[in-house]
Amino acid sequence: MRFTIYRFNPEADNAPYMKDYELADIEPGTMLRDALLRIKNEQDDSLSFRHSCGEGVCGSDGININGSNALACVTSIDSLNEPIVLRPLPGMPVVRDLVIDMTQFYTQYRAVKPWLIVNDPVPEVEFKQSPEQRDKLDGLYECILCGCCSTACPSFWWNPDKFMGPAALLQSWRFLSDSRDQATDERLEALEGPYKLFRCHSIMNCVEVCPKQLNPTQAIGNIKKLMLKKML
Amino acid sequence: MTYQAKGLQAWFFQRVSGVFIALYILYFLWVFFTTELFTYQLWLTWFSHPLMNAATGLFFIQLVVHAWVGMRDVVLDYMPNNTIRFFSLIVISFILIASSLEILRILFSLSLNA
Repeated sequence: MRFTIYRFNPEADNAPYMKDYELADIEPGTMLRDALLRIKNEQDDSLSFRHSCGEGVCGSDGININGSNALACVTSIDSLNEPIVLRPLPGMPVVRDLVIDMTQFYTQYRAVKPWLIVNDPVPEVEFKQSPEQRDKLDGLYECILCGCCSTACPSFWWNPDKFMGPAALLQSWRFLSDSRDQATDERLEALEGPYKLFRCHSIMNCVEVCPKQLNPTQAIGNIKKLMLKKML
Repeated sequence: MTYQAKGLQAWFFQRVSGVFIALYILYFLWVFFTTELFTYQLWLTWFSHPLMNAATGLFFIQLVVHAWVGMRDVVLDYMPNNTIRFFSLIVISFILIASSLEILRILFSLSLNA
């Protein structure tokens, strides 16, 4: 099986280049992460990529696979056309090979204050929530922050320092829809303006690539609807 | 809570103006294609009617608002340089304001004929 992999070592290379590899004796159902590990162990130990849990939970190994962002650990190579072209997630600075600098992504994530904000005295035992209130968090809390969605979003490529990006906005809606959170007005206020939320044009690349099948576009639409409701 | 900034309002106006523009165009096409012989005199009478005259004025105002939000989105998305952004927005707003003033002048002169 043939692979074409983006290579760039800023300490040694003047410019990025694509390098070809070939792997033989690949068992059916092999995941791309395992193939990459074989290339690294058997052919080229200078190849760099992030990985950890190997089962789509940690979100470390998000890469661009044949033009589409995905997690290497849950992508079976049987489903991919040859040569398998691997690039770093687009629109972010490359640290080395398939490893990108996620600083901007985490800055935007922190900016939406992804934690409960409670002004009342915190209950002594626990926060009470009805099953219906808890159900509203489904499809939101499962985000693993792999960055596949935000780095697939053209609006995030164009204004990465101003537009929050789908991952951060999904988390914003996760706390806006949490019955325990008491900072709705402050959260909405912080998203006002032409950039932070309203750069989203519902392109839906984020929905297409999310490895957890989440729907940031719908979350963004819900934030807009809530803003409108408050305005009217 | 203040919503004076331009994000939500622009988004809201674009949708409201979109609905109005669509309804106006449907009505316009319906009249245009169901009228047998559209003479200049008929056209003049139609647009000189106070209701049609006001609706057309409103249509063009909504069109300018819609175009402004859309063009502003294009500039903010595709032009990373702040100076180019600024001058592009100035040029676009000048063209939109000048066109709408001219259209409103024409409509006002038609309403005087009524």
